[in-house]
Amino acid sequence: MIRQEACVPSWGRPMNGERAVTTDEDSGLVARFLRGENGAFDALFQKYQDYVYHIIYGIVGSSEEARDLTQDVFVQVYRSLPKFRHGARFATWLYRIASNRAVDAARGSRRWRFLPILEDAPPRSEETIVDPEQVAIRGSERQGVQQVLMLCPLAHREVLALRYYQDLSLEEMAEILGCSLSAAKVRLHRARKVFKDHYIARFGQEMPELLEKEEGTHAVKTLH
Amino acid sequence: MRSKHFTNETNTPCSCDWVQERLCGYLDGELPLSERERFQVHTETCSACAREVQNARRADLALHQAISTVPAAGDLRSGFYAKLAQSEAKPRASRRWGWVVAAPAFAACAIAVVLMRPTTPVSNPAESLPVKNSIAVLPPSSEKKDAAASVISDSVINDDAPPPIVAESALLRAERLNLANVTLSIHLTKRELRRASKSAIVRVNAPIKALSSANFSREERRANTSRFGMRRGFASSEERLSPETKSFADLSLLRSESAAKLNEVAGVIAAEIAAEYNEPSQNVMRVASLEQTETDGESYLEVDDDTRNFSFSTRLVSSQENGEEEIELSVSGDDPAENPDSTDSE
Repeated sequence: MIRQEACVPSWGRPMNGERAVTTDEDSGLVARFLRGENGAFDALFQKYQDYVYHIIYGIVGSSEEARDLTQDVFVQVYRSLPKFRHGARFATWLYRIASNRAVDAARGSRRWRFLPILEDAPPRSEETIVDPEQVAIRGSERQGVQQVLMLCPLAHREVLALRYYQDLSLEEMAEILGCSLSAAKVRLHRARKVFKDHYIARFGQEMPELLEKEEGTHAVKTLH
Repeated sequence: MRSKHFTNETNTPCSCDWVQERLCGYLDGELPLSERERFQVHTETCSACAREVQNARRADLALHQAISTVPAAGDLRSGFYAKLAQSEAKPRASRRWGWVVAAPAFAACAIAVVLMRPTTPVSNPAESLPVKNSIAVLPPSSEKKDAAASVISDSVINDDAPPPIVAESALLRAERLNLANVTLSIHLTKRELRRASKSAIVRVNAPIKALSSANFSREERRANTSRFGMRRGFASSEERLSPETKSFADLSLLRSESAAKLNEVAGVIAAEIAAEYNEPSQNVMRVASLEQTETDGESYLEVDDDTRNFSFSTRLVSSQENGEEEIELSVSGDDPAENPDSTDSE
């Protein structure tokens, strides 16, 4: 018997009706902006600023830089909207600009980017496994996700940010990355593996008893 | 074909590699039923793979929850509209720099204005460019609009005998040279002209008194040299590293602070050049990155201007005449007409 609850939330899902509505709404706002209604761009900005910021933050790992780049992205979008191809999905186009911008910024600074200072490293899980403390440790783990992300290669960081910081489907990711669906899938799988290796190296393995306790249940339960 | 193949093997043992290849598919619930069952049968008996599944699930979960750890973006609108207003003053930011990158002749004329000696009438600005190694010093940015440029001396740059190049990060230099109080000069080398390269050189002068004295031991010096990929053989400059640069962590903070200074410098440079064209001074440039080459000892500072990247290469040059050191920043970039922004393509 397959236990669906044992899986992390599904991904690679097709665009649902809500997104289709969003696409129509975006097209309307873009059309209004191109007719001279600046308020329409403001609506687009309000709607997407957090999404863009999240993608960029996932890639560059700095909130200050992400804020700055987010503003730059919207300036660029404002300038480039007249070139926006009708029929294309605005959000995908926007995310592509954001992703490219963040990757460019991260790529340029990679040689000078210091690894995050991991001062908040929790004790490795082999040392003590007591439920309340375990919860605290897991909390620290979550805080450390971005630090671990920054250890991953840029290409992997990009797909992980698109997937997990923006919750994009594989189809959308492929379009943003400019690759095939299968290539996007392979890239995401590799990125997840690299992240997992860094993550486990950082936070340690689970203890066997914890494995048993969690086996068959969604790991979220251990966090609450 | 693939599913049929594995359907025939449903009851056969599978290898750990087989399981590893399907780990993501398993976690995502994408495996065909037959493969999923084989996967589970294997992990029930293989503790190593079971652990890997658990690790992967845990890492996936952390990624899914990562969004909750992202610091709040805060109010981005005001900053956005400020940047937009800046860019609106000039429809395309790259146009401000187009002369630098796209039209060497235009750049030559522009620089010539700066290079002209006040006492030397020059009917054709381009004719003044072969006057090698002249430097025009502009006043500090606060007074740049009103003061006239003046020529101070021949350049310390000598193409035939390269100045001592300090293979040190641009940020460290910026910190050491206290670039918050810079005077700016623009210099175009004969070599640049000869190559017709699309670049100009901007030189930043700073008083050497801003430098702090050294507290480094020989071993520390050597360690720093190797750690940052610095080229050896620059003891005289190295000794001016400040004590704050002793530790790795401290240095990262130092760089962080210095990045802001370099941002200021980039803005000053933009403003100065814009002033030369009677354009509104705009600090629209943003330091995007730093990169140090390890071969020629120069440091490269990439600068964004909303639409494309420019590169500033910096190197420290020493003046034999007045004992001052200067930072030289070379501005270069690809012609936007030749390399349109890919994100504009749609």
